[in-house]
Amino acid sequence: MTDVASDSASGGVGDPGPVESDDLPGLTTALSTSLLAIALALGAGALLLLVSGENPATAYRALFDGAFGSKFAIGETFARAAPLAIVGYGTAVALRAGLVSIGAQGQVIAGAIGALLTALLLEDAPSVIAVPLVAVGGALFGMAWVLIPAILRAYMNVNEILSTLLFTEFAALLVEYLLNNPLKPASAITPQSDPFPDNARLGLVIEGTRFHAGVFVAVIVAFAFVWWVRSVKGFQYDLYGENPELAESLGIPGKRVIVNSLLISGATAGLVGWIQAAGLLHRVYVGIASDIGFFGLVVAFLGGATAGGVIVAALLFGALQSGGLAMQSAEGIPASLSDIIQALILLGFSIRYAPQIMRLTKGVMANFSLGRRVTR
Amino acid sequence: MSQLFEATFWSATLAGGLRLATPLIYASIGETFAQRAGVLNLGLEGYMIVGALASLYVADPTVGPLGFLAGGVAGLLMALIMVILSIRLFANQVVVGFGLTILGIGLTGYIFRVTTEVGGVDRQVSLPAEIDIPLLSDIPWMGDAFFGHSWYTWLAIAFVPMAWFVASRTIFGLEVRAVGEDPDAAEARGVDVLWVRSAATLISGFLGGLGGAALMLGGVGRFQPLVTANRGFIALIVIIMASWSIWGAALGAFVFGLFEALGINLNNVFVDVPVEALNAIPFAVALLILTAGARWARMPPGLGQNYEPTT
Repeated sequence: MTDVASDSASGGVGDPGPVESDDLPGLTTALSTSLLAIALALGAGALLLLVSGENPATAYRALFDGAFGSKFAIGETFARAAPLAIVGYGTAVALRAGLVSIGAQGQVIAGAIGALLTALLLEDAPSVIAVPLVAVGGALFGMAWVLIPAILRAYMNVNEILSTLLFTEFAALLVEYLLNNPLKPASAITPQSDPFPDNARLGLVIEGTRFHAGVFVAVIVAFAFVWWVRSVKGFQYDLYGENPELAESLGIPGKRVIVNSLLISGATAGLVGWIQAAGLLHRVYVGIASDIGFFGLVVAFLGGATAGGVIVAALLFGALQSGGLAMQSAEGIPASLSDIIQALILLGFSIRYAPQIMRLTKGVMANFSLGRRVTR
Repeated sequence: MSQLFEATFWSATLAGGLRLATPLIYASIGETFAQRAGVLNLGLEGYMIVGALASLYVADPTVGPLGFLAGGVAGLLMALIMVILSIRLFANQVVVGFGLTILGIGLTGYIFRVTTEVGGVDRQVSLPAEIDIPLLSDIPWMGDAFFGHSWYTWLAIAFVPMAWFVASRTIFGLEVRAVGEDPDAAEARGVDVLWVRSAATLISGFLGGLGGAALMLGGVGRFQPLVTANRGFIALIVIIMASWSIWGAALGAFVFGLFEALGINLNNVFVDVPVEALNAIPFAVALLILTAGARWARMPPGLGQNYEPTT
C-alpha cells in the first residue's frame, strides 16, 4: 500500500512507470484471492436471499444450471459474455491510456443504429459484401458517438466520465425517436425497427442455442487487443496512461492519445451494437444495449485491463447474467440478484486489486479534472 | 407559438423547474461538501435510488417525514461503504463509486421485485399537500411560480442558507475545504484528514438519500427501476458550474430543473418538433455547463486523490 501512495505522490519524471506495470501477483495468489472475492459476493447474495425468504441453495442451483446446465445455457453464457468482452477490451484501451469511458452504453446504441441503417442501404447486396460493410457501419457510428467527448477531453479538458454519460442520454433519446418514427414498421405497436435484413444477418453457430457467429468477434477483438498492447503505439499509450508528463516529455502527443483511445473504445462498442442487432436480436429495440456498456467497463476494471483478465471476467459476468435470468424464470427470484453480485465482486476487487487498479487508473487520477486545475 | 409570449407559460415553467430541481438541490449540496473535502462520489446515483426506495417503503405504512428521513439514512449507509473502501482502505474512488451506483440500482430493483406481486397493486404514496406562501405567491406576473409546491421544495430552499453557513462559517466547514485543498498542510495543522473526509462523504450520502426521497415522496409517488434516471450524475455536473459553492450548486440544480421543465412545456408549443429533441434540451445544457466548467471553475486540488496519513 505504501509504495502506491508514494508512487502517486511523486509521479514526476523519475517515476519508472511502465517498467513495473507487469508485476501482477503470482497466478495462485491472484486465483485464490479472486475466488475469495467472488465467494464473499455470493455469500452476501445468499444472505440477501435468506432475508427475502428464498432458499439460497435452490437459487444458486438454478443460477448455475442457467449458466452451464445445458447446451442452450452454455450458448447463452457465451452470447452474453462476448459483448461484455468486446466492450471490455475497448474500454481497457482507453483505461490504459488513463481514460474512463463510462458511456459505452450510448455507443452500443449508436452502433446498432449504424449497423441497421447500413444494412437497409445494402439490402440487395450479397452477404459477402453486406456483412463486413454493416460491421464497419456499426463501428463508425460507435466512434462518431464518442468523437465530441473525445475532442472536448483532449482540447478543453472536459471530464470524459460525465460527458460520455450525457451522450448515452442523447443516444437513448435518438433511438427512441427513430424507433417511434422513421424506422418504425407500420404494423408495430411498441417502438422497434423492421427485422434486420436477411443478407446482413450473422448466422447461428450451434442450433438450439443463441450462440451466433458474432460471438467470434470477441475472439478477433481479443487478438487485436493482444497485438495492440504489444505494439509500439500501445506501449506509448500505456506510458501516457501511467505518467502523462513523462509521456509528453518523450514527445508522445497527449491529445492524439486521448482522442484515438476513446475512438477505439467507441468502435468496439459500435461493433457490439452490430452483433446484438445482426446476430442476436435481429431487430433494433430501445433497450438494445441492456446494461452491456456499464458491465463492459466493470469487466475491464476486474480484468485489470489485461487480455486474459478481461476474457475471464467477461465469461464470469456472462454466466452470472444468463444464470440470473434463468433463475428468474425458473424460481421467480429477480435477476437483479446478478447485478448485486456483480457490483459486490467489483467492490471486493477494488480492495483486492487496489494496487493494480490504482496503477491502472493512475493516469485517470493524475489527469482527473472536473474544472480548472490550479497547481499549488 | 404565441404561448411563448404569455406570462403563464413562463411562470409555469419556473414552477416546474423548481419542482424538478428539488431532489437535485439536496443531492448537489451534499456532494459539494464531499467534493470540497476531496472525495468524488460517483455513487451518488446509487445513494439517491436507495434513498428513493427506502423512503417509499417507510412512508407507505407510516408518514412522509419519517420516510424522508429513512431515505437519508439509507443513502448514508451506502456512503458508509464508500468511506470504508475508498477513504479507509484507499481503493480508487472512481471504481468504488461506479460499483456503488450499480449496487444501488441492483439492490433497489431486487427489493422492489421481491416485494411487488406481478399484476398486484404497486406500493404508492399520495403526493403531499401544496403549501403556498402568501407574500411570494402574490408577486405580480411571476406569482404562479411560487404556487403549488410541497414542503420538500420549501425545505430544500430553506436548507441552502443553512448549508452555506455550515460550509463557510464554521470550523467544520473550514476543515472540509482544508482537507480538499491541501491535505498535507491540513494534517500538519492537526486536522484529522480521514475523519473530515469521512464525515463529508456521509453528508453526501445522507443528502443524496434525501434527494432520492424528495423525488419519490414529493414528485413520483411510486417506485420503478431506474427511477432516479441519472439525476445523481446530473448533480455531479451542476456542482461544477457552481465552482463548488453552495449557493451555486443550488442555482445550478435550479437551472437544470428549469431547462427540464422547459423541454417538457415546449412540447405543447412546438407540437411538430419530436418530443425526444425537446427532452434532450436539459442534457445539452448540462454538456454546455460541463464544458464551460472545465474552462473556468476552480476545482479543489485534492479532489479524487486518496490521502494516506503519514503517521
